Amino acid sequence: MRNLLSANLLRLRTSMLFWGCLILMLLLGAGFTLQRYWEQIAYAEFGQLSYLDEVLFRHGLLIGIVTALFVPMFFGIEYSDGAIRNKMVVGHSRLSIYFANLITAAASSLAFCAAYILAVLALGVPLLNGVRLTAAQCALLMLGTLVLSAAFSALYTFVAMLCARKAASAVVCILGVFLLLFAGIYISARLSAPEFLTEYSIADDGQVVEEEPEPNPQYPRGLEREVYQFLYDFLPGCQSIQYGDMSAENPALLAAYSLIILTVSTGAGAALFRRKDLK
Amino acid sequence: MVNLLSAGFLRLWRSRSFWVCLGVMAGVGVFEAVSGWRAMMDFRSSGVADAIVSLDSRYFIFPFLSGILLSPFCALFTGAEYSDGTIRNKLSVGHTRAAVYFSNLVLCVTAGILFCLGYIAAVLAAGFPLLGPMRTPFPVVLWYTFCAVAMTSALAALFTMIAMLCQSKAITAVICIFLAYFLLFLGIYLNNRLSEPETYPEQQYVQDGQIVTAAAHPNPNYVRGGKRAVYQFLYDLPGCQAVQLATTIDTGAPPRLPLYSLAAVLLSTGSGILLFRRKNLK
Repeated sequence: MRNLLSANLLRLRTSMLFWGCLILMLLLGAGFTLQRYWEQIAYAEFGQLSYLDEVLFRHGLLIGIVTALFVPMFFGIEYSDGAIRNKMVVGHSRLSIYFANLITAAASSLAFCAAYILAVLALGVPLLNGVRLTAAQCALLMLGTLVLSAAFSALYTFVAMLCARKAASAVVCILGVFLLLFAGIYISARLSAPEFLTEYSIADDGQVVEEEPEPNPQYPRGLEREVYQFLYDFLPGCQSIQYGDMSAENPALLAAYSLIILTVSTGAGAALFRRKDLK
Repeated sequence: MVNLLSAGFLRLWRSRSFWVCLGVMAGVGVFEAVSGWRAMMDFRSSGVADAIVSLDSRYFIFPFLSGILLSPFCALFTGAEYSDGTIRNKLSVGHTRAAVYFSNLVLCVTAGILFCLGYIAAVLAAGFPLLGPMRTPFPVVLWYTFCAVAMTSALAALFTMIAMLCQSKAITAVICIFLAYFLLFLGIYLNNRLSEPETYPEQQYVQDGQIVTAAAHPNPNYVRGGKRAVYQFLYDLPGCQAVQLATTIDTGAPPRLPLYSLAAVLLSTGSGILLFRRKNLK
């Protein structure tokens, strides 16, 4: 296992893909920070201020996409070059190969997150206003995003280790993450619909009269709302949306769901990989 | 060329990725019609008078999907020619590189048009009985559909160029998918920027039960001059066009859009063939 990990890390250090993704995250962190800074300048006359925490946790939104690009391309080579068979021939178990790849994927995604945070802090501390959250809230959000990135890595490792065709696993991972993100946007829109709709009318004397509020038919109620809320907290793409727009109210619950996803996908992936015909 | 096309179409009908993409387009078409009908029923059960969800709002969605589904399809379908060594076989039996390129282009464009038709057939078949006929005049629908199909063909040409010039199927798939999403998000961003009002008009709003009037003031976010021209040019590109088509349903899509699509087909195919003719196929 240690040999596998050290070989993976060595390959990581020389991988152009890894460095490309790392630089991309750095640039995105810098870009988002500068965008908020320019907005602050453009709207200065209206008194708009930009805060560091508005961009500090946005890697939660990006990490799923960047890891979806990295993991299948990096581990798909193991199949196309026959490296997996070589590893088994020299005596490594399938489980240790799977776990070494999972750890490498998770470590890479954490490095991508770190690159983003570093860029935001380097530019955001001198350019933007401080953080409005408490230290505990910041720590919880940071923990949540990092566990989410590990969960994404586990899901993609599952796909990359079970699909021998690199192109197919890349397509599944990239289309899958966008599907999850769109599901997050859709569920967010449904959950944020107002429960009641209020109309205003102007009386003959010019006074504004508030009409009796009417229930909004588009507002999900009862079991439907519970299902939407569960999916919004559970699905990794929905969690990404919550971290991206800073609306995550319970990061500890989200982190717990991410851990469940990580555990279940790794368990299922390892079990299926043990039975897989590697040809 | 005829032989290449006939072999290609035979492969297309047997391609799993083609049928999966077509199935997804048709499935989304049915889903959109049914979800529109469900929303209409929700409104009616809440007592909203003249609650109608029009079929039009569900019909005009397919340009958003066609490019996204076409990107993995073109990469996998055309990329298989490299991974299976078919391209070399075709060249060794005497076909020219231009003929090989054109045959793949025709296949990808055909697949793109069929994806559009798959959605249209499904949304009309499910939506017509559930939501009633379309309200937009037929010529406008026809023009919109033509513009959307032209845009899909332009994207197919772009993806074919990438697939024919990049020998790694996986890299092609990644580039094509990210390009499709990038163009779509760019279109959304440009639409937001270009639709910013030049000045905020005088506004009246209710505060503490009283009507308050706010004076008109210039919008600092309004895009002006050369920057606006660049934004407008990018907004007219295929991919971004999907957003523009969706926002111009009432007024009718500008006639320049299919011309931009045609220009994109000609440019990408011309440069693609030039580069493919010089490419070392190993």
